[in-house]
Amino acid sequence: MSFFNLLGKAFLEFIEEVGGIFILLARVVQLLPRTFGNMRNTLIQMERIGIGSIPLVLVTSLFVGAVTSIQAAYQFHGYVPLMYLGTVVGKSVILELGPVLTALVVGGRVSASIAAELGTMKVTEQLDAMEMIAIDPVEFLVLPRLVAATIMLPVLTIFSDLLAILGGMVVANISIGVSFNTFASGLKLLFRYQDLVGGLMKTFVFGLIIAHMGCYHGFVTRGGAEGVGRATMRAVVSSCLLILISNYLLASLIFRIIFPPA
Amino acid sequence: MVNETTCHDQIIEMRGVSKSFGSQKVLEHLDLDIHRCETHVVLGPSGCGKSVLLKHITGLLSPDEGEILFEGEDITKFARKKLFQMRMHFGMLFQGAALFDSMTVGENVALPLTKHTAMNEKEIRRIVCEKLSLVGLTDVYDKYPAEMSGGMKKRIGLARAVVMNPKVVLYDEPTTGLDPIMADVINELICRLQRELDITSVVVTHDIHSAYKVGNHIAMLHGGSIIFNGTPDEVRGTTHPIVRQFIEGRAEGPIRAV
Repeated sequence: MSFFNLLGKAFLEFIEEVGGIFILLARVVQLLPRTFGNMRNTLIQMERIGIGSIPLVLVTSLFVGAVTSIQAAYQFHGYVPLMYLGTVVGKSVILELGPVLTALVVGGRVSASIAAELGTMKVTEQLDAMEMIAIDPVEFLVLPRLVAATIMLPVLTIFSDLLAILGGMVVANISIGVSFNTFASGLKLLFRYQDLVGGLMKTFVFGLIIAHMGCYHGFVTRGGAEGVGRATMRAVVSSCLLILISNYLLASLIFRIIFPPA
Repeated sequence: MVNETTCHDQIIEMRGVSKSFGSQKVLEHLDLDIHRCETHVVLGPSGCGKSVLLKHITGLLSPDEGEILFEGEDITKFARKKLFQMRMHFGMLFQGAALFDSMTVGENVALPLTKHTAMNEKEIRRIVCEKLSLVGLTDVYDKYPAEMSGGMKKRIGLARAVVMNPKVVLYDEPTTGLDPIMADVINELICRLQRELDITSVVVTHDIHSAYKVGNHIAMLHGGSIIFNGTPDEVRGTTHPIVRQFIEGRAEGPIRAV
């Protein structure tokens, strides 16, 4: 096969994949009003995605906050008073680190688990069996996961923001000698509620990306165990990449247009 | 009991059905009639397109050309909602049973009833236990599919397939992977369901003993189309070289295994 044939084939596959992702998303949007009829499944998924991710988010956030405090103090040394440590830790965590790192760690865990579960169902004909008993797999499996992830990621991010700031505060106090009061007053100094809202707005999209990539790649799984492995890997890679790309686009939209600098 | 006058007419008709996956032609101008209240067996070697044929009957796959009629209506033109309504009249036993791993046996069998009827939990449990005992299983309601043997999984799959009292049950390789005794248990069940529930059955298999035992009609699928269709006795007596090679299980002959 010539280079151009390969290039054309890859391009067609890419278009097919993007088309498939949007077609599935359109079907979910169409089915959104049925979420309430499927509440039990949605709650189960909220528990799995949300509660199940708490230990991971807890450890990640505490250490991210701690290292941000250490790194900021290192860079401030001799130039910036340490009373601004709380300001930098708070801003970094609320605007970027909390939303993005929570999305990345939850994304790895959740999109992999969804892709593996649905992929296994696909290769063992469980999705066909569902269709055969006149149950729409998109309504029964995809919709609850998408709704649950979109709701739970902002909740996990609030939890992550609080823990990261706490981690930063404790390390600032123990290792750097900044009192809790000084850290807290630095935190309040340049705090804008728009920062928190903007950071959380991004996480709705991240939640959607995580669950959607897991579901899409699970649904298009082909082959046996190897196919499930491939689908899982693709789900994780594509959700991480899309989180990082959409983070730039959303940050540009939110912090330059919706909430421009004061 | 189904009225005698409605029995034996064609419930499913496949007309000139063709299907390709990429450059590979799987079905080619295939014609097949399925008669009400009878068991039709489609025989053929592995990979000849038998499962694809079944998935066309249920609308899980759409043909590239041709029409598939269910009770006189072309299902290839059905919208998704109508297709789902039609599937309420179908039950299907998948090759690997396709039970939902995350649900208990009871929940698996109950799922169609929970989703499509207004029955209360007690009523659903009663029907599920009745269907499970029909396939010879008791005390498995709260167990998970992973705890079941291959034969038990197939029987649970069968209980799920008939829980809504369908008009048609489709069997995809029902005896594959089972020991001869369990295979015979499944064959007996297929016959019993047809007798007791007046179900139309379509069985795709490469198990010739199973075909003789359960079939009222046996068709042979080869090269994407039906090359032979007759009663079990006609199959036994045929001189058709492809059918003879298949039923005698010879490597030498018109069907090239390698």
